[in-house]
Amino acid sequence: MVLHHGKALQQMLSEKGVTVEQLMTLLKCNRAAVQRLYRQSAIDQSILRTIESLTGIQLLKLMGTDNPADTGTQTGTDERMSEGEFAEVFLVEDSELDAHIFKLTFEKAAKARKLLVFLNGKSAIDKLLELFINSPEHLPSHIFLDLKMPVMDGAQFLENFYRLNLDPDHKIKIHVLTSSVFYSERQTFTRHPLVTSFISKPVNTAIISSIFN
Amino acid sequence: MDKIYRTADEVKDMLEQLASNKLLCFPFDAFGSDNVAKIDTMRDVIQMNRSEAWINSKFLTDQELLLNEPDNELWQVALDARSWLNGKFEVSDLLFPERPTSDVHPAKKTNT
Repeated sequence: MVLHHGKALQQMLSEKGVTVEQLMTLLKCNRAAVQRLYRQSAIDQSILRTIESLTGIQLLKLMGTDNPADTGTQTGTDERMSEGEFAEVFLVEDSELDAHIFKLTFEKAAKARKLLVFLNGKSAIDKLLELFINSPEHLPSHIFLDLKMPVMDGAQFLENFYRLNLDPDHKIKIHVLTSSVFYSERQTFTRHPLVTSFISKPVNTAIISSIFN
Repeated sequence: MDKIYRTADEVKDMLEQLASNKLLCFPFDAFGSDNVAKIDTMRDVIQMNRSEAWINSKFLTDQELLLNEPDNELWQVALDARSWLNGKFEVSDLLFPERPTSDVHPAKKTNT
């Protein structure tokens, strides 16, 4: 028999004395969203993990979905990535060709380091938020950010990164990647307080080496 | 255009409550979704009496239109607002939890 996640979640939280109002406050969402969550037959593992971390109730074990392979949700990266996965370096780039060139260069210049690729700013922000809440020690040390992307572009990524205060200790270095030749755009991002460096595409081994060595 | 089940006063009151909620709510929920954008969407639907067809056309992509339950939050909140207009939700169901007053920027506080 297939477990209805929403009903099971509602029952578990109710048994532990967590009311709808308390869940709304913890999740910072409205009652309609909580009701929608309770109606879902299959809830994304990242959502359950977030509720688990906020309430302190072990939901994943109780629901029997503590093995990431059980649900294996798509996180927006170029590969199917398990929820607990993390890397020292994030690349946020929508162009497959540019991402491939970056990967090849990165492998040469920073062999021992692990790289995760995100196709747009939103999936990267979602992953950063998940890591920030669940395991801040696994936040990346470097983010290479393309500017022109669908869904959430580089500028919006920086705005959300700042608004969510994902790096209160300023440990994450953000490197902006662009093929733009416009001086004004370069100046805007060179002066941006969150941006560590401005790199022209295509990247080369010398630039990547200088960042990591 | 969909029939309005709410009176003009109810609509006006709801828009005011959402406007106030927009200033005082947590800007993002625990999953990183933009609560302010959601409130703006709900206000637009309520103010302009947007129909369900308009909402689907505005917020869903061609691929999402084919799904039974697309995972699109702005579309969902727009439908919530439409449901409120149709008398299916209470005002409190759509309002977001608000930050403690000490968190609110001094400029946003009103003197009573």
